[in-house]
Amino acid sequence: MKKILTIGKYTLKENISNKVFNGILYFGVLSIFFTTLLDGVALYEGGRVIRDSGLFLTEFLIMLITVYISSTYVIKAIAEKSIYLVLTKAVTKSKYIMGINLGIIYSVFCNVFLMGGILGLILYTKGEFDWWYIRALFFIGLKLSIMSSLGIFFSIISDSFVTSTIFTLFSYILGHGVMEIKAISEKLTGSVFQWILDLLYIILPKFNLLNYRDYLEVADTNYFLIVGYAVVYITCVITATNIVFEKKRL
Amino acid sequence: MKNIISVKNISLDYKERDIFKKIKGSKGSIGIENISFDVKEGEIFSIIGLNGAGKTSTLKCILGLMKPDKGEIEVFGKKELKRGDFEKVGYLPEISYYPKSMKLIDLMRYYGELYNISKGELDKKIDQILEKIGLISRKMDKLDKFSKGMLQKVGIAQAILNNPKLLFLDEPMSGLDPLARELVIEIILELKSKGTTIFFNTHILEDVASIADRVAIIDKGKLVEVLDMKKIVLEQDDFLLKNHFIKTVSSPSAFEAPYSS
Repeated sequence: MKKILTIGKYTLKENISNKVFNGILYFGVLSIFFTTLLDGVALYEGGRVIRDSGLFLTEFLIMLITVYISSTYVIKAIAEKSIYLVLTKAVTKSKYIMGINLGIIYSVFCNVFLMGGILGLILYTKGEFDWWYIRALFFIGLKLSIMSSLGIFFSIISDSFVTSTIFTLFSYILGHGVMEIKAISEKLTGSVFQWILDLLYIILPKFNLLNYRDYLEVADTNYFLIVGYAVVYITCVITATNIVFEKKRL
Repeated sequence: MKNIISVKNISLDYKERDIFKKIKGSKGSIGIENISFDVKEGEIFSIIGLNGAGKTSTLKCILGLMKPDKGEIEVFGKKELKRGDFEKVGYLPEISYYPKSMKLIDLMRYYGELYNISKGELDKKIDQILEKIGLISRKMDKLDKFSKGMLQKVGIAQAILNNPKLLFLDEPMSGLDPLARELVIEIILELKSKGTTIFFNTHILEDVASIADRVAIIDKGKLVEVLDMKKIVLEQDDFLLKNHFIKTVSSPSAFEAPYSS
């Protein structure tokens, strides 16, 4: 456990010093400030428009950072052979994967709190800050934590940055459309495509559960189900990643 | 002296993994073939060979970073090196990249924590090692400011951080100036005097000749011979490893040479 935490800590440190990571983050922070300009454009709904566009920007930009880091980290470590320096220090491959996952999840939540914190301050000054907003940030964090585990999985099964990034991005996009995939599958009875769509429905992350906008007017949210789903999904992806990584020749 | 490493008939193929090249008939290449040797506890054992001979492949098989297709390897008397055994092992890879945006002190602390060195002891140890290799003044600098030779010294520093019982060095002198090479030789001899077994790959024969107890020559993936340097130097006053090596690897009968020791 200690080694997983150590790898997680230093992965976070490494990410924080990464130029691409910082570039997107600075852009994100600036963008959040620019949303305040929308206040003048949106009559009477300025606060809500700032909140919604700010949350969109937070999720979108942190998603870009997450996809970039998670889908390239392990490929880069294997290509540069820096992975050997960790694996030869009494660290098993599975601990390495769990440590990297943890480090990227730390990075996701740090970014969410940073961008979300700045947006939260702006909303507070507009009188639009409430408990729902904190929930929204939490759901964004959970969603992107799932993305980080998928990014690492694709980076293990692929030797290419491009393939890994594309698959990770597609998972993000399709994960938002799982209910539509299910609906199409129900209309295609008996065909091969139904099997394919059913399989996709099962394996894709169900981001509909983590869509914070759906909980706007809902007083009772089953957090146990939502957090439980995210934890179980991430565990399954990490397990699959470990199985593939054990067999991978470095 | 007991054997700390025992390698028996290991072979490794680099199978073609690219499906399009496979269709074109590419079968990959042979990495190493039927290599056998032992390394005694406390000795300095070196593998020498031309570029692409199979030195690094052999080392990686011993470390468990690659699984040989055939053969057996025992390290510390065990058939499979468990992760826990790596607490006693130090490793310098042939080419190592470090996170450029990290500071030297953070990198050393990272590896030290992975070795389970306690926090109190770790910083003291890091300072001692960095002082020894001449990088103490660069402790707080980011690694992107380091030259190739300095990064090689960083590699050596992280490899000896845990006072290893078994130290693997892959091309340790690569990129080092003559003074730094002397320093590395000094470190290797000091570790040997404390009982560490050192296994190193190199193609710089002068360094091997001055410190190695035994030398294995590998050519085109095969073990040509293992030389007992002390014995040879006693028996032949004019023995030069470089001349012997050149003669051996250019000889068509190189693979008929007997296993010497």
